Amino acid sequence: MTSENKMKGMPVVISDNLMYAGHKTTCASKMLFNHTAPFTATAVQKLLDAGAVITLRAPEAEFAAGGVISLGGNLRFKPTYGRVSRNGLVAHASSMDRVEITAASARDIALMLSVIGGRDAADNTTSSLPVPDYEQFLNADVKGFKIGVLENSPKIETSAAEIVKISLPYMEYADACYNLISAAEFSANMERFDGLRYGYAAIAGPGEDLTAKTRAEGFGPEVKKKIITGQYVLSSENYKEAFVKAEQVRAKIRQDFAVAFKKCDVIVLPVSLSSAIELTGLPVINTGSALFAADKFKEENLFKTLQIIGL
Amino acid sequence: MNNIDNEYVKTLARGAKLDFTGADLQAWQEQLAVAAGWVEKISGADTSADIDAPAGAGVALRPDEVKPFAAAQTLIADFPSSERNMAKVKKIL
Repeated sequence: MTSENKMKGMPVVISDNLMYAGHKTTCASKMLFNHTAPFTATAVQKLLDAGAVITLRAPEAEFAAGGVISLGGNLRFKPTYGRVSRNGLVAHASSMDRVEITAASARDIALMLSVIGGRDAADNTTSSLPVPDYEQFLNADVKGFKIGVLENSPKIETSAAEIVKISLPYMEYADACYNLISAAEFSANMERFDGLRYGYAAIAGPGEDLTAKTRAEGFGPEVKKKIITGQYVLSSENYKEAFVKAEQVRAKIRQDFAVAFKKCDVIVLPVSLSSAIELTGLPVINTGSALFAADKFKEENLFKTLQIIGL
Repeated sequence: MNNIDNEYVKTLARGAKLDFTGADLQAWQEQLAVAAGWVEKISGADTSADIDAPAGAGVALRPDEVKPFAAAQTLIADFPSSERNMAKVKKIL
């Protein structure tokens, strides 16, 4: 099947932080309330080229600075950092930003990733590894697969694969580490909203600072809190203890996963432990909690949500 | 580390080019206290050996998304809703 036909007629909703030429891209912010995208994000262009039909813009928290949209019964996939171009994705935390795919089935995710993945000259962090047809792996035999779970993890039983215990000792620092690094990168990325180049501009009177006034009026409370936090992390008096140390912890977390993957093919964790995955850029499929909401899963200490992490 | 008082918050706001006139400085102060807790938390992590952490190092270990797909198909398959597919879930898990 040619790439042009792969998604012919398939309706796709894109989030409000992906550029789509001629359409508004607001990031749910007053700062961009009237912003019309001047170009189309690489991932969106690839969807259009494959015949997909963009039907809606999905709402999100302002600049994705807080809140997570519920998955319901859907699956969410985050590709390996660098697998999908970030060109045209409004930057949040640049070392972690990824174009995600949410869909009802693993098959739909595999199809979309085959379409939007790949090297992009407009994003130098993209991998030049060839993009396989992911759908062909969906029915691969997982016999002999080893699934890694934490020592004190909820139970998981399957006859299809072997369960092995793994240890991720630096996991306990992941949330703090993620929060510090993402705030720092977010605050740096938000600097471009200055009331001069594009987006909202306040009316500044004599003696007033146009940029400071624009940012005070244009950003919502959660964005401001995250900017202030980033400023705190990057300030000269805290930089070493906050930012540099967090990057060092991040390296340790990545080492943890590298060691764990010597014992297993995939790792299954509760969805609540997601910060470490953001920090490592590893590919992951998350299930919505609705999948395993039955009482049985609580009673028998089974996973109620899953994230399956690859290498 | 600085004492997180009102003046310190205003200093950070000036650095961030954020006009704090009428801002909820109390909320910002509370947020910074939380951030200080994060710094305190990671200070306990042993990062003394074998560290090579360039700033902004967010790259993955080795890109290979194939295995999660195969596992996902086996473990959770195509489950659009919990009720309809609980039988399948029970069979697999």
